[in-house]
Amino acid sequence: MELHQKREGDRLTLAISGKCTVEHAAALRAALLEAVSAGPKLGLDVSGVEEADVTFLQLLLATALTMEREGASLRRSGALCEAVRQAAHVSGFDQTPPLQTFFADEERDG
Amino acid sequence: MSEIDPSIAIYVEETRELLAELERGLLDLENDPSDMERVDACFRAMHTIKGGGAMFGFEEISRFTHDVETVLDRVRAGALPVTRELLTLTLAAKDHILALLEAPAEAGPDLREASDALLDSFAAFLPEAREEAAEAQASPSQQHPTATLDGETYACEAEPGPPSIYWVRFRPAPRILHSGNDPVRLLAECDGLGRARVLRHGPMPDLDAPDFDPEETYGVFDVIVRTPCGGNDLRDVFIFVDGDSDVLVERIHRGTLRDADLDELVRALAGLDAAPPEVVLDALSQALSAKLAFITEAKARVAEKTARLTGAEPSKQRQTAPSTAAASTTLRVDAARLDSVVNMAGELVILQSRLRQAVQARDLDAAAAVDEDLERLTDAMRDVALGLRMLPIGTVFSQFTRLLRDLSATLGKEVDFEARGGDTELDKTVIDRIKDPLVHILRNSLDHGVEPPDAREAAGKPRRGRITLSASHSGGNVVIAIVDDGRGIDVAAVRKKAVERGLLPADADVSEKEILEMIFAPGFSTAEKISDISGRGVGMDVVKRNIEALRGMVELESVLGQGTTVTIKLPLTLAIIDGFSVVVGGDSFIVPLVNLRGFQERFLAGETRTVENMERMGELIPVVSLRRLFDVPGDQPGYERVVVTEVEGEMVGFCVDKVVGRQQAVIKSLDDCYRHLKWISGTTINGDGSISLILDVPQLVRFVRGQEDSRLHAARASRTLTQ
Repeated sequence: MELHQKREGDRLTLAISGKCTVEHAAALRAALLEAVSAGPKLGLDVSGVEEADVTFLQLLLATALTMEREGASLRRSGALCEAVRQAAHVSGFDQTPPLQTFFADEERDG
Repeated sequence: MSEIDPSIAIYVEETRELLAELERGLLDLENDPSDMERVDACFRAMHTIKGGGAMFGFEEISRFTHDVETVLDRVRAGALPVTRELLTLTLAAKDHILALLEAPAEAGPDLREASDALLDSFAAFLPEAREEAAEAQASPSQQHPTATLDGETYACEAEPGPPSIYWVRFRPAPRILHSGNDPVRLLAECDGLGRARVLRHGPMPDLDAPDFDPEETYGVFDVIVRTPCGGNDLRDVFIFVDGDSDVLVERIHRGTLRDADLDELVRALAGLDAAPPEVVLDALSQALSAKLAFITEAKARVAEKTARLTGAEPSKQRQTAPSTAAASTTLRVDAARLDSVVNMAGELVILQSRLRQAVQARDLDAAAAVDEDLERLTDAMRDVALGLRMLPIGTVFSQFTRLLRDLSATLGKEVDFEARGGDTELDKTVIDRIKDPLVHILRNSLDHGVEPPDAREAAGKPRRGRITLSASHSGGNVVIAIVDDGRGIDVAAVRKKAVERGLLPADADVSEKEILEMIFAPGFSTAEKISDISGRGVGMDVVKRNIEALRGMVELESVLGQGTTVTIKLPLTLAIIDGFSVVVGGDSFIVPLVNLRGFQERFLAGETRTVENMERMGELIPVVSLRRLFDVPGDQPGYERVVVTEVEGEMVGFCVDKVVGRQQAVIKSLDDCYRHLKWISGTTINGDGSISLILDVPQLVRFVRGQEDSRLHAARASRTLTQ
């Protein structure tokens, strides 16, 4: 898993790529915590994710919930890669209210 | 259950619209292959058609569209270029989907074969799929068991009987990932066994919660699956986690449900993550019962409605019949127009209460004021109500673009087609019925008018011909003009042919315009050879007759070597006509103003016949006694008025007792049981509440012509006998 931060003014984008599975869950949580604490305008770029398991989707949901609590919302930056789209679809995470917007705008569902 | 769902008609109607949009988009792409927005729009249309097809039971559409959609998706992703070949193939696919949509029942073997042939052609644009298929064929022993449902293939063996709906509850053990099992992978396997809808609910700590362990799994997954496979296949998915994790698989319904119904069922489980299974099953049972009750009710409603429409017993209905009926009975209407009708209905209610007050107070002035307001409102309401049936003529223009594209390729001609005034509105019935005449005229323009590129070049014209179709409003009419810059009509050739056919004496002194009119004579064709495109004997006479049946008229202008213009004038609506009211005995009739040419009178002595002759402007014209024709009771008066009408150049008079005057007639069509009546095209209600019959003048003229012909034959026969 690789993480890259890009800052444009007060907007922060965290690009996550590679294999996002349980062995990287703790590192990803730490990166997300840091990004969330940096400000309310956080975007996640998951277009480079090659593999995702339940821990990745849970971290997305936990981030969205935490930001909601702070009055902000989690934004997606960039396209949705097939690995994440498929994982979120079969597990219902894409229909979970805090993540619905994050996973929206994909016209193809089957 | 799809065939009993009333929303099937909406799907059919929407698919027709989407296909028309798709065709427009593909034709636009031919002009500008780099227009990615158009590619997106085409893809979206195909995607919606596919999704709806699966949902509403059009399995063949869903199956066929899948590959076409994938090809469009590859175009969208930039993996495939937009080529003429691909566009032609996609246009053929569009035609095929329409054929599948309009097929009366399940797609027959012919249609399936046609699907397969087209899919073979599309396979060239799907290299990966082809390789996969080849691999699968090469190693059949390694194939996994499969079951299909709604055009989708699932990784399990189908159980006999209908598919079932299962509820799967999966509460993963917190440390499930440590045993190498990922809930997402298990749920993906579950998804591979049927159409699944998943609700993930239950606790989820915040990111910064101290007890949040990112390597643990939280919450519950409730899955509703529609599958052709059995419950054991679903249980097998979780076989290695059952024990640590909680897994429950229950069949909740035997039979199928739509995707939208699955969505509703899964939504019914929200908030029940901690509830025991019996509570969840109870909630599902309630949601399911409500859904099934709705379906049963809808089924009864549709069966009843279809039976009413066709007069047949509900049990004998073809179950997909609503799709074809819907084509002619549904109409999309601008919401703003409906709003104004509702507003006006509101005003009508207010006027009614004002009228009641005026009557109760016996206040004639107030009643007169209401009368004035009512007149204004009625006029406005009539206009708005007629507007509800209005559609932009542009809806059929794209079909013409396609027609000319395909025809020019067949004929080896090059032509630019331009359609203007597509937003001009016309009554839906008129649009439906003007399409065929327009197709015929356009075919003629391309086949007979526009020359081959070399001939054009030799004549000093650009290689590409030009055909323009324009529509515009003019007074109470819509004028449609078809202009080509082809070789024009050779008046001398038309004259020669007319003389040969005996339509014109060799020495007749007639104007060029009159000679051109000969083209509309039955059976006339100057085409040297009959092609697939035109000259098949269905000539311009049919075009003219169809247009006149719409109370329209058609004119032709042509300059040799420069081109031809066909102009069609059509009334805006067929619902109201301008007519002349006449009376015979106690019955009143309406003669459409469009046929009316004048009035005469005649004095009678002695017995009269149904059809006689009368002198008008130095010529004898046949006159029909409406009294005798319709067996109107009462004595024959000695003095009659004759209403002179004209159809297709023939004058016929109708004898009546009295001419009342001009009247705008709101047409009320005849009920089915009166459909056999000849010579009457409809009825209208007069100001005093009585009913007038609207005369079908063209039919009457044909009747008179038939009478005259048989009299002529009889006369000839008797002459032959005397000789």
